[in-house]
Amino acid sequence: MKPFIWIVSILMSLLGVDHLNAQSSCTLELSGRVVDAETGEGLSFASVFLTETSRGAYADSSGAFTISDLCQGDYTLKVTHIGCAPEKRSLQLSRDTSIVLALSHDESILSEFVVEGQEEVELSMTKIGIRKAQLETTSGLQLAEQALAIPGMRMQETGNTIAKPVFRGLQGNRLLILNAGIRQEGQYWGSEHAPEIDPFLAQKVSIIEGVDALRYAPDAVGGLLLVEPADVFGSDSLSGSLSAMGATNGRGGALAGDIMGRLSENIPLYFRGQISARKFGDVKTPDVFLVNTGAEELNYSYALGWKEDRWKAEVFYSNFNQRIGIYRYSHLGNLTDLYEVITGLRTNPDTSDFSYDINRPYQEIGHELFKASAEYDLDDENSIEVVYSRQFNSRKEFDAHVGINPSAEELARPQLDYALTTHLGELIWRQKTSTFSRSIGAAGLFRENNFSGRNFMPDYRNRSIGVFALEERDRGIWRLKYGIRYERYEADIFNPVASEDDPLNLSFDGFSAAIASKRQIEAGDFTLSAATFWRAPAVNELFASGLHHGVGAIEQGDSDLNQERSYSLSATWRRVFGRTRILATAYANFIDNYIFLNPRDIELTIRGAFPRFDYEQTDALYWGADLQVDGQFNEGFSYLATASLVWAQNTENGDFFINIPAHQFSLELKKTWDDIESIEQPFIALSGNYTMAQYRAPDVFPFETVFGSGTDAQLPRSFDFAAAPEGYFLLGARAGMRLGNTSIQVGVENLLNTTYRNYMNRFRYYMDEPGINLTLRIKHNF
Amino acid sequence: MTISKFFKFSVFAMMALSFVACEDDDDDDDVPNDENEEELITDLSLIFVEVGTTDSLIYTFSDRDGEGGDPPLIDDIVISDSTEYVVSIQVLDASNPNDVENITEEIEEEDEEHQFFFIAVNGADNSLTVAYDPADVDDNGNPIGLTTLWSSLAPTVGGEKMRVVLRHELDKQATGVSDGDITNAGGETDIDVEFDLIVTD
Repeated sequence: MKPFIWIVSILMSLLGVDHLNAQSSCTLELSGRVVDAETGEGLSFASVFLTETSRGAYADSSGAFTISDLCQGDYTLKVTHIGCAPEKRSLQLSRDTSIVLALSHDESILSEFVVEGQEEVELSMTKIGIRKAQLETTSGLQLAEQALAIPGMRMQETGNTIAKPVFRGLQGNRLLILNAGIRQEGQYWGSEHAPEIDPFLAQKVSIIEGVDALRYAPDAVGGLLLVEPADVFGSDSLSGSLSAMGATNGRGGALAGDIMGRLSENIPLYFRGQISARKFGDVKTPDVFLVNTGAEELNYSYALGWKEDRWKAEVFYSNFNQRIGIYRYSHLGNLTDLYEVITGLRTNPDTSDFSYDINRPYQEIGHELFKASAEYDLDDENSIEVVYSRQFNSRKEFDAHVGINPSAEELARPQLDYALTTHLGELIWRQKTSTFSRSIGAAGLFRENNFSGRNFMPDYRNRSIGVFALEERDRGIWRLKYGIRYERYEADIFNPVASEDDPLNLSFDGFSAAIASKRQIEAGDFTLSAATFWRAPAVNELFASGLHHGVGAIEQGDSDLNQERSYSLSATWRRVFGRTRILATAYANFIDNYIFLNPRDIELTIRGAFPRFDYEQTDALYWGADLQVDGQFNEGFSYLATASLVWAQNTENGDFFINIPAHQFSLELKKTWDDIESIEQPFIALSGNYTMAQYRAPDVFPFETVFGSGTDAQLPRSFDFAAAPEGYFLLGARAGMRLGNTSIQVGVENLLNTTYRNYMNRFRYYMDEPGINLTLRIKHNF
Repeated sequence: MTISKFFKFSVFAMMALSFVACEDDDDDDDVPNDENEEELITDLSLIFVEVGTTDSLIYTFSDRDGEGGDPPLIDDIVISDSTEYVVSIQVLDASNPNDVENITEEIEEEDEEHQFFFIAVNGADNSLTVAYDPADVDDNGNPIGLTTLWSSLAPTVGGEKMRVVLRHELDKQATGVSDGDITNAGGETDIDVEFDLIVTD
């Protein structure tokens, strides 16, 4: 490639040099309308450019546009719209001209981000999602890694095999994750568990905040991540794809395939099937292989649908199986071990030997979801949907040590074994006119947890019932959406807190409500959203009791915790300026009775002294901003810049919380060429990503004092075991093209092989992050 | 037509599967039994036998409810000045009083991977020396520390402690480790307890 030419191009566009020759007597007007090729509806805010002049206009909300003061001559007209393939047309302009430009939506273009607009009324006005095409650029990675393309999305890792999404600083119990509309129940189990979802299943991954989250749950305190499979009724003909991904770091990859279609013209039976497998070995930092950091996964899903004029019914089944290694040297005996690792007193035991083996400590995770749903149209405006789902979660943790000199039976047994069964039923009535829509529904849930092994949490059963109502009104440039949900949650707690005959009964109830309004402004829109959600304390927050290996700390639940409640406000502004698109969001989320782990005491055990963290409640404020700017410098040369800023604070005493993502900034420069014979849309992109050090981190644990004075040591009010790692800059590159139905992409991550540690990795005390990684992705559609 | 037959077949196969595929979890309707069978170390006892006698003294660190919960019970080590003792260690899992497990034997079976360390704290080394029993070695001739020789040198003045550490998967070859210096041992800590030491006049 020729970086020099790019740099010159950048400079030229920055300096405003363009190729327009000003001429006199240029008074012609080009006007027209941009419409959707399928529906004929006007496409608002489509951009229309005359490439020879760099002049253009944006269509208004009906798709109409006007470009005036044009000279006579030959022009190339380029029309673009979010989610559509750009369209080019030659035009000879000799007098005032009016034209209609039809654009077709094309899922295959590599749109940098897709912000859901008016066309999907069922969706929240502030739903932000990434589509299949974008997901394909990161295929083979974990779901949380793929979701990073959503503004405001970050992730929390535990080693390199467990990645969990973080949205606007909140994660775990506060960020709900839904697979095909059904909540991932295993996410209740604590913070070190990645979502049990096959990323290849996803047609779209989006964040929902505010009103539309009420449809699913009362407790979307930090939002809701929705993973949507392809619509089973999406294709009348047989179609499908095969994809493969390979990576040098970990020496592994993924294979996936899917197929969908309709049985025959006479029989409206639709089907979809999908399978994927992943396998990776030990990951390499710039220096060493990290022992026992491999992972393997085998997942599949299928769906069947039947569609008549007035009704349709669907069954969906997905199965997820994963076995992941946990970095061997994260499993430590006590604080002395941890101290020696953090301060470098112990030499790094990692090796130069690569291995695919997954040994203790490791985890085996299974998830199964069965869902049946049916929708019936009562008349043109009213419909009823009924949903039943049943899911199994299973999670087995095999610790590094099985006691001393274990028997074969002990070796085969996990040290911690959770099993969770959840049944959910929903009934929803929907009414929809051109300017108004409403949905009213009820949901009932039954959940049963079994724990065995390491005594960390009790067994429990719980039930909840909820009712909700949502409405949306369209008033021209204004759209208003609001909703409310009431939920009652009850739990029976058994071993070891209480007995089966006489369980401890807990109940919580409350209202959640949200409102959002969106106003069209010139070349964009402005959305304001306010919401309040509540969350019952999770069972681990109520009853956890035990030592967390790896992070040397005792966790103690509190059965007197109250529910926590959030009050959130956010404002989102979207606007197109010339060749630049801006998406900016500012938000604040105040959480009353915020449940967190507070360091309370030093406790003596037979392994030595450990800090004890109690689940306590305080008030917390999360606030921040997400900014995304993209655009074109000139033909084929584009950029995408993002900033993600998060702050969080304990408002009762001003302390900082642990594991809040540091501010992050990124820039990608991309050059796309015109098709070269059969090579379509070739591109090359270079990206830089800078993550600051978390300067608002808690104090550092005073190891020396604790070793000196044991249980008498004074602890800081909040602490971490090590200082937050320094900021880091990562460089990456990718290039790709399409050959007919096949797309090929190559990428490099951590191009400079930088050694760094990530504050958002719980294993930051022990290990560096992965070094350079080369990837290859091939996908064939048929 | 063969293709459409194939699809018909696969669709019906999938339909059939969707009814049976949900894994039957065997104890769906049972509230599970408490299967907390994990091995826990709850008790560490030092059994002192004065050289040349059969009189024994036992000092124990005991935390039967595991981490958290009630604080551990810790005896003070009280021994006489200018006396030699053979000290043997007993490690128990007494979390279930009806089924006390002797972990000492298991350490003996895995002796190459385990070693006890005895660390003098707050000047305890002025009152005491501890040496590994030369007979108490693993197959490689490295010490285990289940039997040690303690010689009291002078009465304690107050505040002295003895710290007893059990490491496993340590590096017994590292410098100083076979002499009882824990600095380079590495590995993972199984036991790390401190006893107050009183050497009487």
